[in-house]
Amino acid sequence: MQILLNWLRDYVDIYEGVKEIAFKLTMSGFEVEEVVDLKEQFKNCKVAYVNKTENHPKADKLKICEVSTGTEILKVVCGAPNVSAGQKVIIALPGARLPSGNIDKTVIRDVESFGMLCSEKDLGFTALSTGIIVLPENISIGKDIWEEAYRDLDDYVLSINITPNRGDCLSHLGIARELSALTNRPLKKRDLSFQLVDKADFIDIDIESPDLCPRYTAMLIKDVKIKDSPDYLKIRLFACGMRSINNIVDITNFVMLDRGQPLHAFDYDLIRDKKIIVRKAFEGERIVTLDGKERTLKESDLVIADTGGAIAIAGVMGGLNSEVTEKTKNILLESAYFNPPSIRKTAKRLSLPSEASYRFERGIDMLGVPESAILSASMMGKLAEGIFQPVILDAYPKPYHKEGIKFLPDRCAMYLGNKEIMNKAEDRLKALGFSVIKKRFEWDVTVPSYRQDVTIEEDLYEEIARLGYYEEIFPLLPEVKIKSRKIGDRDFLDSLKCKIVDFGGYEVINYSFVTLKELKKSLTYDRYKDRLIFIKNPLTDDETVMRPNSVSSMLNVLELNHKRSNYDLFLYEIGKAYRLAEDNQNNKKIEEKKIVSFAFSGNLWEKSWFSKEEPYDFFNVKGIVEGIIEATINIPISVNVCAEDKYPFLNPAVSAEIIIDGKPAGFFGLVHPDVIENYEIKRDVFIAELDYFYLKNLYFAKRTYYYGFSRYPKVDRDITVIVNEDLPVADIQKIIFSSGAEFLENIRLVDLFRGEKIGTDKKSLTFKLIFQSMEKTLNDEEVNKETQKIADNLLKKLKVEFPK
Amino acid sequence: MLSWEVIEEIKKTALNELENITSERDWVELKAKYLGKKGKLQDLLKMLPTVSQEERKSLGSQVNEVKDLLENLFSDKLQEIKLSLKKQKIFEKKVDITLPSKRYSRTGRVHPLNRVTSEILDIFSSLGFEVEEGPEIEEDYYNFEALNIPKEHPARDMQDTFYIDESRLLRTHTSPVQIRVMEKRQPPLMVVCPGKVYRRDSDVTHSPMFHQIEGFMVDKEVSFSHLKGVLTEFLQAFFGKEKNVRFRPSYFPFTEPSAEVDIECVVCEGKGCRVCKGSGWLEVLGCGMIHPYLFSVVGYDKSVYSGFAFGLGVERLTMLKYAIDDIRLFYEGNVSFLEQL
Ligand SMILES: [Zn+2]
Repeated sequence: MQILLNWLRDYVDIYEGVKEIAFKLTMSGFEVEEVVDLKEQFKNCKVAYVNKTENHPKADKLKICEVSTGTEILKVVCGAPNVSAGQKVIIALPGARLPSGNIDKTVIRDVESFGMLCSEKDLGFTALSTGIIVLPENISIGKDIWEEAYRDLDDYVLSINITPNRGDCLSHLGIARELSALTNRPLKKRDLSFQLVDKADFIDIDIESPDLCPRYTAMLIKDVKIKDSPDYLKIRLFACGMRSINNIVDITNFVMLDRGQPLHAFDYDLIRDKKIIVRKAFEGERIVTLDGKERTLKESDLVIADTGGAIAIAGVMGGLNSEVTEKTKNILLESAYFNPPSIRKTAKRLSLPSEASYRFERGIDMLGVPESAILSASMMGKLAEGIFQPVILDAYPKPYHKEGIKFLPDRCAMYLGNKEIMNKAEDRLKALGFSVIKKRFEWDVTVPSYRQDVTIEEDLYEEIARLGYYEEIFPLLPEVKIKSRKIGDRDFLDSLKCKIVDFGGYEVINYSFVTLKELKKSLTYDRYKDRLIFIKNPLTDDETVMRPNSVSSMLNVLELNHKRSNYDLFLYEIGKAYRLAEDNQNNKKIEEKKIVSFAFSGNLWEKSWFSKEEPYDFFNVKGIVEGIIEATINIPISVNVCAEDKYPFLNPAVSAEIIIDGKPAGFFGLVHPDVIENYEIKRDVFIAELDYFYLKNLYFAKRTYYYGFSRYPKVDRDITVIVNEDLPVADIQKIIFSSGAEFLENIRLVDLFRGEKIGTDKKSLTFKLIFQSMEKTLNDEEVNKETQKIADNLLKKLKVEFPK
Repeated sequence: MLSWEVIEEIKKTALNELENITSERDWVELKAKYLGKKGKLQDLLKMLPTVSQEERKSLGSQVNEVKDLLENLFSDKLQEIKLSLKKQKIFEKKVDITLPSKRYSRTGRVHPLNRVTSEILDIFSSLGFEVEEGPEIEEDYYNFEALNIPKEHPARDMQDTFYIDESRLLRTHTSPVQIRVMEKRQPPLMVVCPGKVYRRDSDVTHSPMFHQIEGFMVDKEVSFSHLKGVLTEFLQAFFGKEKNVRFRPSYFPFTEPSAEVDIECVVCEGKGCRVCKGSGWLEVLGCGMIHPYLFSVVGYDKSVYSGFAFGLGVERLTMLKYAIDDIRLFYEGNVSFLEQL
């Protein structure tokens, strides 16, 4: 909300500088985001005298004016029809920054122009232009425009962030009330007397929905002259971000900014049968609003109607059929209170947020409704020569009522943590317009009608504390009732991350949502298509879902890095996947599953002076994943071949399922070439995904024990076998371990060889067998005997060949 | 003819030659030449009988003295040769210590947002807070209704929401965890809840997904003073002891009284700059005393318990800490960005 400093002076005396006022407001709950010196906005706008004008040689409608600014004579090209020699005008010199644009020296159709002669529209005061401003004779040439021409510009605008609870402060009166409480200076009243009547001959008011409209007042102002507003009105509106339209519209806007009460002016003569009906709209009822658009209404919308139909959407926008135009003679002025949620709903549904609906939504002062009407009427009398009786027709089916609040001073002192403040509590509440009746242990507090936000005693605590800027409340650390700290998720998370980082992983954070396009691009759509969670109102037009896994997110990150020549990547993310899952009763429920994702591309390490490059491949990726799991939960992993279509985004020949403690815990492998094709990815990509909760449970469930070790030496033997290429190494290892060989402690594959020497489709494998006894030092004979057992078993079970 | 001069001459030559040898082999040869069974000193001793009785004794003891001397010197020399050889051997393997190191893997990184989250949680942990988490796809009830934000409440404008369906949405703040925790547990409670939150907003300082940490405490006689104490402690631990902190009245539907907390600008130290828009202060978190409506929702008795709650944006604190000017950098995954932090 824009608040004009001098406007506040209408209501309260101000002796402080603008900085001090901004500080007081900020520290009491009205954050002043910016203070603008209006004068600064009109730098380089000066009063000038038009010495002579001549026609532009190349343009009929332009004139070349010679103007004097008191210090220099300038040539300015001007297109306004009303410019002529002998006028005092406003020139915006090069460097001026006007609402309509920045002014520079220009060349217009081959003629140089050293500035612009301004209209009120150029200065931002009015919506329409009626030619350049011609100033009265007595204004001095060369002065800045705020010095004599527009003195009201010598002012400051405070841009205040009004929190949604303080609808009452969306007005100068509201902020002035606050300043009055903060400075202990009285609030000045605009002295306007009026009489309330419940019947009048000029109009009938019928409120059909008193819940949505508890109070509706109307006044008739006759014989108004629709014309331009005076300068001070234009400037006040301009400073608050509005444009002057005509005196009637400007007055309603002025009163709204002044008192927070939105008003509506109808052309009285267009109201059929002189009857106002406040009712719910009929389903499908149509109305053309002031902006010329036809709106279709719903039963939940409130309208102002006459006997012929809706003439306004209550509190949101007027109808074109009752609009005040230049022809209007008589005005029916509406000042009313509408139910905030109802207004909000309608304004939101019709996408018609307005200054009026904004205030109605936040609740206006129900008791102040007639005062706003009389202020408008009196201004229409002064500025539009309107004739009116100070009589307000007041339809008031649901009179304002608000329960008082029981206030417990002791509790307040405890709550705020300071007993001293209580000495000031009563004065502060009274300064803010509350009335206080003190009893022994509790106070009865009555809330002023404009403070709809205050409903409970805690609201009063805030009122008391904020007038001291919260500075009287001293910081104090609470007593901690120490419980033994729960070892939780974060202990596991930290430990897991620590291991991943040790192995070289860079952590990324991806958005939780992806577009369907991205899912299809990464071939993950088919796998999850029945389990997707759609976002109803995504940021873009693309259909967007919560990501069912991290594959497409990771591919996007890899692509971005490849585009920036970062190819050697090991990325990880611990985040969620979101899917629909069926519960026992076949109900679909939302599942948020934490997953650990990895992505690898390029080289594990690059070529260097000591080593050739080592690209990421299936086995070093396997090693990293295995290493991280073992380091974190101390359980070895095994792998299973994936079913060919289970992970459509993986290359089925180079991927595997990860088995931990007998159960599948994730997958890893080379990304399918059909996926890579869809991305600007220039290296092989491996990805892996692990079930976070499964790992976490193992981390907490698995107990590790010490089981002793042998004190006797290890002895080893190498054994080489030649087998068919398609025999998995794991099968051979299994046979070795099940040979019944005693003392066999471990085996290690130390050589893998393929070549013509041993025949095509064959591979030669050399295992190192490690023997060790818990009881004795083994001799050669014993070891040879056990090795032979293994060789025999391999021959028998797998028909292996031994090299000659 | 054996004489004093002859013995001295041999001694002198021996010492000279000993001085010049550098290898163990030369030493063995030289030792044999002088001290061996057929060595020069042995020869001298053999010549003793040829001299007169009177001289024999003194020349004999002179030869033995020279022999003892040489034995000692030879033994020292051998030590010296061995040491020097050892030294030579060691320095044969002298390395260029400036050669680049051999590294077979890069060092990884924890994402700056998560590192700051950990840092924040550690501080609160040391103040006695526990960590709890809640769902990101949340019910309207927990995200709004139970937090005193009914439908058609203007405060819903403060947070533009992504919806899944009529009743479910992506949580717009971590505050619903407050309700979930209070529903299932009884005071005393000191809890912090980190997590992702979502709002329909996207520009240099707003991301549709970002991270918040909610914290709250409920117990008997918890006061605004405690709120100030805990948050001042936290902010000074995070930004530095010397930083001033101020609490300003504000509004949140789920706290009353409510406050916005500012810290002295970390860029200009309170003098006023572009980052703090000239005010010298940076808004870093929102907080307040838990609104009694929330207690009524979870069934706590407000005449027995009171509490405070606060919420902070991890992105904001991280951006201030590392002078990051575009929030979108956090979610791109560009390693050129990540490796700097
Ligand atoms: Zn600053």
